[in-house]
Amino acid sequence: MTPPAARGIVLMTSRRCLQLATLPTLAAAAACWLVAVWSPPATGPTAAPGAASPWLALPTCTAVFACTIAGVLFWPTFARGREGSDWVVRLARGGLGGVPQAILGILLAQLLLTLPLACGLARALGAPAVAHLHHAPPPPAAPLLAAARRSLEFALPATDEWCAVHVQPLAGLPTADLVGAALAIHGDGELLGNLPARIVQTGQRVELSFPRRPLREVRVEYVDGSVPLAFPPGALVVVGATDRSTLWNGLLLALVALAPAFAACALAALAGTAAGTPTVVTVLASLVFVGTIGGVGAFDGAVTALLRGEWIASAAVRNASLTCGAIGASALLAASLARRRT
Amino acid sequence: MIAFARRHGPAVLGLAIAAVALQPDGDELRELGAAIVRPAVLPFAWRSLGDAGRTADPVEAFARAQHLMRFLPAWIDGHCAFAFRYALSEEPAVTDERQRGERARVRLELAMAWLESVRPRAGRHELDLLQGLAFLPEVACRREPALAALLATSGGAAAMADPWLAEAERRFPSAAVREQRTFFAPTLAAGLLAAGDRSGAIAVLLAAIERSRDVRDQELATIWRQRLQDVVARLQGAPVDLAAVAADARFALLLPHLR
Repeated sequence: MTPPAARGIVLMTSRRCLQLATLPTLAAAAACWLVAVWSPPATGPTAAPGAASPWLALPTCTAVFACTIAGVLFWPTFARGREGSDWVVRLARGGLGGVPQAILGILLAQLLLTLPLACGLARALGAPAVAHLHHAPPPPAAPLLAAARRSLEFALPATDEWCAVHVQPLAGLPTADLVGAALAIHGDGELLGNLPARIVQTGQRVELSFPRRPLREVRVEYVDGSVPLAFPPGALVVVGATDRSTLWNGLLLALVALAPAFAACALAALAGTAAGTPTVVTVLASLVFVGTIGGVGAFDGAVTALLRGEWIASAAVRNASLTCGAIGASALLAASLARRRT
Repeated sequence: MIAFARRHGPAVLGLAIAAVALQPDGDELRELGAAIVRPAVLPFAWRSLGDAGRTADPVEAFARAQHLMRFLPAWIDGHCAFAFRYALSEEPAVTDERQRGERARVRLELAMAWLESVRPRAGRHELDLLQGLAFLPEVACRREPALAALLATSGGAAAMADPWLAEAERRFPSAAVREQRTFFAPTLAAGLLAAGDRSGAIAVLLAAIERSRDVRDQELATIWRQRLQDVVARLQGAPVDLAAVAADARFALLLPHLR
């Protein structure tokens, strides 16, 4: 297919998606905003903007569902036996009958709809104006801390300055009379401070703030106590000191939301090599559900991170999004091979 | 316009007739709205609550619980569990004792206000809710000594709990509920004594002596009454042997005020 024609497919699909998806997305966004504003939760003097994540996730998911379903129903070669698909296949050069361009159109429309939500609605729901990097360094091979083993080292990337440490380890049964574990945090060999509370049980989260400084390594020292601690991935989080714009963070969320949509559309296209429209739409809707509401992938965590003021571009989010992308690309390749055989 | 009227006219007319005939009130409309929105919002709210419980601070978890419970208003156990969890949460970053007490008091009041707001929808679980409201202040004071010190000037946790036990007794007048409040008297009296209200404490204990006549186990009631009479006599200045009272764990909170 020639580039202008490809652009035509992208724009046509995108326009159709916007026609069908804009109204439900705006309605969902308005309803969520009204509910959030009219009945805010009572939290006293401490704000909890992360709690509003359902009110941001719902309209964003509405946009994802509406765009993907509208696009798949619009472009004829997504499913087998659709009216007009033979003409499109003859005119199209690639083996997929313009499906990749249609997917691009779907993603473009979704990006246009989700970007204002991620940047504007998130701020309206209370997301802070700046975000900070929250980095969870990988734990050592044996991440146990007790009276017998008194320190654990965590390596940090040299990309940022750091200003706080959050610790939330797993607590074992006490080895003697119950005395909570007192921990000290060292950075590059210097004492950054002692944690302000002893850790007694699993789920307890203790924070330590310190003046911003570059760090290459954080060491957790077991000062005293009788509670052994384990540090699985995510039990220690280091907070970056650099202020990052929430608008950029919103853009990242909109990009992250593209990953499940892309994977779902590509797998729906693969299903479409052997199935008709109802089956393809069912596959698509199920996959979008799993990738967004179902919590598989990075979308769910990214919505909460945006509202909490945590920089979304963490390694976990990047890996989950790339995995979705790889699944989608593989599905498109498989769909192309399957169509050549038929 | 005409086409719209032809297409949707019967539906609009039916809706209008239903509204006039049924005359739904605000609560019913709110419940209807919640029922419509529930399937769309519940998956997000439920998941996010689980995430908050694992990773976030208690304030965020409580806020998420409030979002979630709007769609499950009749789940009283859930309300109590989330309210207790929030009220009993710790703030390790706050090291100043007075500030810790103030923050704990705010958490307690917010949690109790939230539980109280659920009462109209509690139905047959209202007794559980009232008992939860009665127990929460005492548990919170045990968890945070700074809160106990803060509340001591106004009768302590027991003074906050007693109105809810009284309400439970008024709404559900069973022997078990009545006895629960009867046996709560030493705790309440200890709180009043800590606040310097000796006459109030004596009044509470005298009321408990009177109420002990209704206790189903009369052998237990007789012993209980005797202990209370000893305590009242000591508070009124009479020389009384308190050995039996001191040996009874139910009076442990009162003992420091009797020496």
